[in-house]
Amino acid sequence: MTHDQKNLDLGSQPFAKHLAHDDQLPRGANETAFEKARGVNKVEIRTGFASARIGGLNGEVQRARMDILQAVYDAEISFDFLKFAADGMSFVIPSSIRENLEHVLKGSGAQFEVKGDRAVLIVHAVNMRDEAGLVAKIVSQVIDSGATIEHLGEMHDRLLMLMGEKGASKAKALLTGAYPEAEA
Amino acid sequence: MRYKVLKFGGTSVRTPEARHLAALKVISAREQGFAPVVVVSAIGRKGEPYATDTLKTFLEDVDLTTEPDAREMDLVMACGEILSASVFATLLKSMGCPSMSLRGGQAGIRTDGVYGNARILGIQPLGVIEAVERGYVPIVCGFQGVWIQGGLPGAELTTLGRGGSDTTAAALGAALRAEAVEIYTDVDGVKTADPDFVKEAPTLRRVTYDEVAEIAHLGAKVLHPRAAEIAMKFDIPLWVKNTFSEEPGTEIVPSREMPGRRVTGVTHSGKLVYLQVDLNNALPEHVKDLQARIYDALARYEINVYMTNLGPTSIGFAVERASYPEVQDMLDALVLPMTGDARIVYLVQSSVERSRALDTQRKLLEPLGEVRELKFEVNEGCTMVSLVAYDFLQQPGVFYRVMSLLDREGIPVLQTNDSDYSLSCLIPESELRKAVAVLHDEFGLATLS
Repeated sequence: MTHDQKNLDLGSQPFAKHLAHDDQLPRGANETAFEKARGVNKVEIRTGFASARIGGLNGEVQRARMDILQAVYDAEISFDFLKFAADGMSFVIPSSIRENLEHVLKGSGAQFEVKGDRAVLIVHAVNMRDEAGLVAKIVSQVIDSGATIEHLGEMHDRLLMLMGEKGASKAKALLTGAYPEAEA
Repeated sequence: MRYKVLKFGGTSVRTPEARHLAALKVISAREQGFAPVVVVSAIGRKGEPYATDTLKTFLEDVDLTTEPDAREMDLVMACGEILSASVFATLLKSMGCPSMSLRGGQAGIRTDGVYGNARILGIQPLGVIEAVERGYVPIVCGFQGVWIQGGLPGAELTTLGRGGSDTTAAALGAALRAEAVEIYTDVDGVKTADPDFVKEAPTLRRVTYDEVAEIAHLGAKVLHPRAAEIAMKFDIPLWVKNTFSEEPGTEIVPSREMPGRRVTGVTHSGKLVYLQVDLNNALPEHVKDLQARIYDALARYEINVYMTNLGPTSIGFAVERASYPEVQDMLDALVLPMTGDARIVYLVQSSVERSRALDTQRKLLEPLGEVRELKFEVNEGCTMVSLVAYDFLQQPGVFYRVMSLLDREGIPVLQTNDSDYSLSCLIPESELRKAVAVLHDEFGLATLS
């Protein structure tokens, strides 16, 4: 079989140049910047949260958790960052409804602690799931900064970590130092 | 010029019949007055002869003790797209549509020098534009670009990592100011749930870039978040469509075009293993240090963790089941010495059965000080089911509604994770099908479109 070498018009010099020398791509003004740098590219802090930790649940722990969540729900309290522990659970609420929550938890008879002055450290890291080990690295760095991570959530482009407000500031300083391209 | 970028994934170019249908989409776009620019993936999927994973085995099988260089791996992997582009160009020619294949570098795609996971730095698509102006349909090899090193002769071929062909398509669309970027696959668009689990799951007509990125992040393989990010940044109209049907597909739009609270879908991840270590055996002053060291070890071994949980007396996280043997190897018998007054050495047990390595380490360490063991509880049969929603999860009662539903259905929830866009529950794998179905039903997703 004879292969067709005529139909494809590669004769003109500029076109041939574009195709033949992909090692000499011009870096001109028309070039468009595309993907953000890998790793952490923004760190921010949201304040105004309180965290609740409930412990000492015995027997059917899951049933006891659900009973408490039912009481919280009945009081129309919205919560985030629900995490289970062997003998209880913890979650986060806006500081403004802290007293309401304490009232509900007292009524439930559970052992609990509610802490105010909590902040959410938000670490933006585009495509972090494909950067193997990045989530673990950020967690390790934040702990190393002296902050105590109380809760952790994630979405496609960011990690959300609950901690004390002072700890959040320290962690933010460490991360922006460790990732110079990160926007503070 | 009215550019339209059409990207065809592995299943869309897998067989002659599939390629014919894909080619008809290109010809149709041309007849509608567009200048189509095609991006192709390698032919077929894992296990098939020309798929990227198969090509990798040529190097992996050379010698089991020799790890192939990333540079060599990139050259081999890129062959899949080159083959696919050339076949597709020849097919279009046979159908009366002049066409020519272009490698990533020829299409003007310049990347950084990270072999295997390169990032697109810029595109100057002069070769694409000129091909179009000369009457050809350019077929661009997805998943690849070139890194131009200073002073070295010749550009280095790089591959873009996961989602590379979607990323190529979105980036070319942005560089060409395309009227649309269409990602063709083997489903009708973005569904409210995996149709294998919920047959009646409808196709969403529109979703936002953030929603589709979150859906992809949580396990649905419709569009890679990198492509969504580029399309979002440059405001490129993006569609997910089916090569094998004439359904209109799903349009991906900016958030400003879809205000309002809503639930978008239920998605699920692959197989996970949940590991939880009880730190009650550790001195309180050592807890943070132990947490940091364990996460540092996971980072060093490049382990992806999910469902991370840090408590005053425990650490929990999930890993993909495929990476569990490596995690187990890395953590089991790991020695964590502590400095300070007390000479304490912590020893980690991550396997279900106590290993010989652990006993050996213990004997070796005992003369050095007190040895305390940290035992991981391992739950191997887990998976994650997620509700994706916009401006909805913060409403009072939503979290409780999910938890109480799963409780009523007898589906144990081992851990949860939530964000602005999603609420995920770690559950036993055996309950996945039921969990997806009841959540889909509870939030009325069958009536969405």
